[in-house]
Amino acid sequence: MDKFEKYIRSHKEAFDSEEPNDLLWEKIAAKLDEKQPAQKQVRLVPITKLWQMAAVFTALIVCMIGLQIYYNSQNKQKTIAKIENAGNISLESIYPELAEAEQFYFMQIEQKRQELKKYNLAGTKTDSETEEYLSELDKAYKDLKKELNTNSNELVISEMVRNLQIRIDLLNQQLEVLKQIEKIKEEQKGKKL
Amino acid sequence: MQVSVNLSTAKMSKVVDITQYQNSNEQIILRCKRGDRKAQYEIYKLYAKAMYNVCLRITGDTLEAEDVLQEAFLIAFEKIETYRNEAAFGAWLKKIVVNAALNQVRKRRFQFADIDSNEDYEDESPHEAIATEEMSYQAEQIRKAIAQLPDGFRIVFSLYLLEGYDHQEIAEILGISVSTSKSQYNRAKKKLQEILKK
Repeated sequence: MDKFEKYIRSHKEAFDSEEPNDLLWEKIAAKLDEKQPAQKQVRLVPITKLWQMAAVFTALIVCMIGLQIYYNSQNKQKTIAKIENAGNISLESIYPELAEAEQFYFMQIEQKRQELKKYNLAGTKTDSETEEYLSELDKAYKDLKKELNTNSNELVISEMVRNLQIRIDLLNQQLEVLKQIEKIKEEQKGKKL
Repeated sequence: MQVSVNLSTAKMSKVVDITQYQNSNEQIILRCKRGDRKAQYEIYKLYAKAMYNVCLRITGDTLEAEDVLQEAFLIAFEKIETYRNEAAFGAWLKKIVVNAALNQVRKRRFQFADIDSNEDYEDESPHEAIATEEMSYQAEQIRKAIAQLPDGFRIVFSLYLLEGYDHQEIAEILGISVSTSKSQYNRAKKKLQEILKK
């Protein structure tokens, strides 16, 4: 080994002078996500969002505890007898709060549907798609309700509420889009005049 | 010259450059085995630079080096469960990196410069002994000169002098004879010194 070689060998670290692209880790992390998407990962959530989430979570917990206490205070025999009647069980007897929420949401949904009807969409593709989606949600809701009769838990209840919220969101979006279109039409009319 | 089969353990022992983190690594590696993304990033931060330079020396191209580095880390995180502390983690990782880099270069079907079998590869070039003033070459200049070498020269030279492989091991991983490895090395060294003299 000559001096040249010795010099290189003894200065090995100096040959590691180049830096990889800063974004390379992002690429690797993205590929890792593809491979193991279900891993527990720490995602940064903005602090305001965190507060919102905490508030919602707390409200939900309080709600659940309330329901639980109420449920326990009910005459279980009576409840079970009613459940055994199966089929069209009334929510009011078991979960009055949920029944109330259901009524409220149903009212909202009906109101939005009426509003939507004003746009004369009957027979259009948009209309049939919306209806299809809503009826799917309705079916899912009924399944959840059945599930609640046999296996009452918080998850089922929150899923039911979410189902109702999705319907309202869907209708709201539709209405929003239709309003936008109408606005544009109005503007164009204005221009022509 | 006869190529005898070497045990991979012998190969590992030659490649232990990055051992200083070994102990503090254990916890991080354990977390990596559970798929902890933060721990994986820790490992990446520790080794990315050194491994990137290995990739760069073998592929000779920054884009290819980054692709190889990415691939090697993905392989390493996938295979990390099989890592059993039998060698320093850095050495284990480096083996994966070198393999990935060589696979990349093989796609190019690089050629080793033709060898005249009569060439005196045993010659350790004493008549070309490096003058003292040449010792003042900065490593950076030498690094840049290495980058200018043709694929075959650059790979053999880097593997031998910087990655710590011996000719036996180089012959094995490149699928060439030991004598080819030696002659490539010596010719690479001469070529390198020519470049540096310019």
